[in-house]
Amino acid sequence: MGRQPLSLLSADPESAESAKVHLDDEQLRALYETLTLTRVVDDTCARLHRDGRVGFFVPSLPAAASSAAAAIALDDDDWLFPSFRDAAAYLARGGRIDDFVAQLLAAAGDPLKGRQLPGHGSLPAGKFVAPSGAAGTQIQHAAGVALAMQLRGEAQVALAIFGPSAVVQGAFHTGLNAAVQHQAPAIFLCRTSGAEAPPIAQRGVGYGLETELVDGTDCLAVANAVAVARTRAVAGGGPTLIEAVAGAAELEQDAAGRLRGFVEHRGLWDAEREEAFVRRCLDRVLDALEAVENAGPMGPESLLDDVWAEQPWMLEEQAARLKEGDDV
Amino acid sequence: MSELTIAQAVNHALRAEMFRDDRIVVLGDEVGALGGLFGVTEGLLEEFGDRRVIDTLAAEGGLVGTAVGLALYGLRPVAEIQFADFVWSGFEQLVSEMATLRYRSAGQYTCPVVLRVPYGAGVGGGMYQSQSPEAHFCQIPGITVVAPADGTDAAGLLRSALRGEDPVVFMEPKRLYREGRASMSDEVVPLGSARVRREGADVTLVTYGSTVPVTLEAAQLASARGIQADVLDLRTLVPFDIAALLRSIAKTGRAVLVSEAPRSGGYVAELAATLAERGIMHLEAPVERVTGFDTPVPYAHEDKYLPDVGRITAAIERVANF
Repeated sequence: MGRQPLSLLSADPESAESAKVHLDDEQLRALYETLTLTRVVDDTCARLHRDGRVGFFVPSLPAAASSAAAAIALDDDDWLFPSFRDAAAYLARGGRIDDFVAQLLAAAGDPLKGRQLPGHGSLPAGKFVAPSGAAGTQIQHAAGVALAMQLRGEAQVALAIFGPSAVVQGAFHTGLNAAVQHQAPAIFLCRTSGAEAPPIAQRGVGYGLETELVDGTDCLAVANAVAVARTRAVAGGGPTLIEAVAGAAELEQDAAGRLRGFVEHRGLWDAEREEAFVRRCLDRVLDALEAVENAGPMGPESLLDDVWAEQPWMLEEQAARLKEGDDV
Repeated sequence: MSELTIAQAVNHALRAEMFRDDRIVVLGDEVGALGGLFGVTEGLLEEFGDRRVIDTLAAEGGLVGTAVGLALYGLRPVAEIQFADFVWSGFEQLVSEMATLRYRSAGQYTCPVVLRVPYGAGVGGGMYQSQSPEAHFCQIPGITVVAPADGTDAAGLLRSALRGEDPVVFMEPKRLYREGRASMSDEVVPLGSARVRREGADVTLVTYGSTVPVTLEAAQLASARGIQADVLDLRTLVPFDIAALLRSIAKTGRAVLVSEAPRSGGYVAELAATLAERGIMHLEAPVERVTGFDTPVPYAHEDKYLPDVGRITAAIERVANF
C-alpha cells in the first residue's frame, strides 16, 4: 500500500491546528485528563503487581492514546467493545476508579463480583461491554450491535477495539463480512505494531470497507479517524477499518506529552493544572485502594449467581452445599 | 382443522411471537426468501420484512456472534443453524460469549438468544448432517437446552424460550419435522418440565426429542408382552425435571435411557448418575442405556446406528427381568 500512518501531532502544535480537529475543547481536555489518569492507574497497578497483590495485570498504557481517543470521539450512546488493554477507554466512558480498583483486586465492592480477570471491566452506562478472554470475538458483537442499530433506525455506531492477534481469528473475517453485507454502522479499530505483513488496513480493502491508517500514538489522528468513520457510518456509508499503528515504545511514552503540547497551545492546560490534576488522580487512586482494603475481599456468597436469570435446581443444591462447607 | 407438523408448529409459534414482541428478529443462512432449508421460517420475510427476517452469510461464528450483538442491544434474535453439525464453527461464540455474558458482567448484560438447531440422523444426511451434539451443549453453564418431540411441545417450548431472559439452544428433531401432532394453540410449555407420555409401573423409559416416537413404540410392544413402561419425555435437558425422574424411578425401580447420540460421555449418562446418586434405594436392576454408537454417524446403515424398537425392547426386557 505504501501509505504512511496519518499523524497530526508533531513538535509544532500549529501543524495540528492546520488540520481540522474533530474534538471540541471539552473533549480535548477530557482526553488529556484520561491519559494522565490512566498513567497514574497503570503505575499503581504495576506496583501492586510487583508486590504480588494483583496476580494478573496487563499494562494499558501502551494502548492508552488510541483507547482514550476512540472512546472520546464516540457519542455517549455509541457502543464500545474493548480489548483487555482498554482501561483508558473504560475511564473515558465514565468508569469509576473505585470500581476499577475493586475489580482489579476482586474486592467486596467489585461490580463484577470477582468473576473477571483484573482490568476486564464492564460499564453498561457507558455502553462498554466486559471483554472476554477470547481473541477477537468482540469484532462480531460490534457488527451485531451495529446491525441492531441499523434495524432499529438509530443513528449510533458500535466500535470494536482489538489487536493484531484478533485479525487472524475467524471473527475478524466474519465480523467485517457481516458489517459490509449489511452496511452496518460499525467501526473496527485495530492496534498494530506496524510490522504486520501485509498491513492490516490493506486487508480491509479486500472486504470492501473504508480503511484508515493512522499513527496510534497520536490522539488527534485516532480521534479524527473515528469521528470521520462515525459520521460516514451514521449517514449510511457503512463500516470502517482503522489501523492505529502503535510503533516504537518511545512514541507511546510520548503520546501524552504530544497531546499536552497541543492542549497547552490551545490554552486548555498549563503546568499548574498539570500538578493539581496529577495530585488529584493520585489521591483518588489511593483513596480507592484504601476503600477496597477496608471493604475486604469479595465473599463467596454470589459465586453461583447470575448464570441463569433464575437459579435452576442444580445450582440451588450446589449453593446449599457451598454454604454448608463454609460452616464447617 | 388439520394437524400441524413440527416444522409448521414452530413456524406458527414464531409468527405469533413476532406479532406479540417486535424485538424478535429471525436470522440465518437462507431463512428469508427460501424460508429455511426445512421451511420452518417460510413466509416470515413476506410477513415481517427484511428488518426482522435477516439472511446472513453461512458462517456460524458470525451468525452466533451477530445474534449475541443483537441480544446485547435489546433485541430477541432467533438464529437458525442449518444443521447441528454446523454449530462447531460457532462454538466459541456460544461457549465463551453467549453463555457467559450474564455471569461475567454480574448480571449487567444478558443474552436472550434462541439458537434453533435441527439435529439428529435418519434423513440420509451422512456424518455432517446428522449429529446429536446435546452433550456438548449441556456442559455449558448458562445455556438452557430444549429438545421437543412433537409440534405442541415445540411451539409451547419456543414460546417460553422467546419470553425468557437466557440463551436457549432449541434442538429440533429434524427427522420428525414432517410428523403431525399439534393443533393451533397458544399453549406455553414451561422450560424444565418433563411430560409423562405413557404410564406404567414396571420400568421407566427416559428419552427426549427424536427418540420419543421409537421409545413409545417399544413401550407399546413391551406392554403386549406384559411389561408396563412409564415413558418420560424430558423436553428440557438443562435444567431437566429431576422431580419427574425420581418420581418415576420410585414407582418402577428400573430404568432404560434412550438417546441417539454417541454413548460415551453422552447426556443420558448424567441421568444415570442422578439415578445412582438419588434413586439407588429404589433401583432393582442396572440402569441401561440405548444409544447411538461411539462412531460418527454413517451414511449407510443409519437404521443400525439409531436406537430402534428391537434394541429398546431388548433393554426393557433385560431390565424388567433382572
